[in-house]
Amino acid sequence: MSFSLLPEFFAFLGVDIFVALSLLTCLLDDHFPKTLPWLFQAGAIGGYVHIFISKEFFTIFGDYMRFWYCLLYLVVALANVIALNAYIAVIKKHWTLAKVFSGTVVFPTLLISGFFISNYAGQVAEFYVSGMALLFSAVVLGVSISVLLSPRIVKKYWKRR
Amino acid sequence: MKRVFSKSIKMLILTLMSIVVLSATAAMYYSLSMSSTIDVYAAEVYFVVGSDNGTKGLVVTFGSQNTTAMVSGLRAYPNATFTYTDPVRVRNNGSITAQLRLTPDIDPSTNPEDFVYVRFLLNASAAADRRWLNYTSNDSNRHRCKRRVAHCNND
Repeated sequence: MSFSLLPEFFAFLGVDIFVALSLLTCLLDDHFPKTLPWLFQAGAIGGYVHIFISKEFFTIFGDYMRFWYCLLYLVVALANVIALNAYIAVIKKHWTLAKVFSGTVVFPTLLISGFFISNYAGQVAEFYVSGMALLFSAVVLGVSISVLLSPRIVKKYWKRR
Repeated sequence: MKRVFSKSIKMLILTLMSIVVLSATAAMYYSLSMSSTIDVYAAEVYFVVGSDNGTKGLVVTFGSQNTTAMVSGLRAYPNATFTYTDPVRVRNNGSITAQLRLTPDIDPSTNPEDFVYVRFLLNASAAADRRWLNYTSNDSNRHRCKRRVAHCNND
């Protein structure tokens, strides 16, 4: 039996991300505004409504439209993940926490999303991203995030300039 | 202590909400990914021509997959009974007994006032399965009679 991804999978992935962010911000509520977990929970419910509308108008919406609005939802979810990391790093100036957050949340989330998007692109448009390219991107992404969020390296860089 | 308690409650509520939202979303996604399989195959019960075809002006033509048959060119003398003994046959090619629904549709396009009735006889091989159906006129050019159900084992 062949398994193929539907465009709504991206919305489902976005819901997962929102739910994870909601629980995470609740756990780390000392660092984030108190209303944030509820906002993320509302975002997850929004994702459910998203898929519900997609199902109800399944025959009207084409594959192309379904893909783009589901991808948009996933991009919004990913933007929230990055914004949280930036909030910890820039506003709160908790460099260590930001580094841990980027390594355990932002980086895996981006990698998983990238994997599924490339998978879908290969399935629909036969646009295959090779495993090596993905691995290379993962290494570059991981190194750049850790370098950017390492205060010593950043300070050294600014001193040189 | 109170803060820890409130945080636990908040976490519990959020966890329960997350479970509900994720389950509902997964169910919705699953319903979208479901697919059905439709098989199309040839009809096992169908019409075939009888020995009267081509004789006495009778012409039998079949529709798609031989599930409909048109018998044209029927002729009869006034005040006389004219019988086509074997115009069209029904064949059951399946392995089990089939139930037939015969829906005659008669169009006496010329001289409709002379039309009295047409009797449909189902000459099944088993005497118990034989059925007949009289189609009578009601002074209309086009008539449609109610179905009659019969069983068919073979021709």
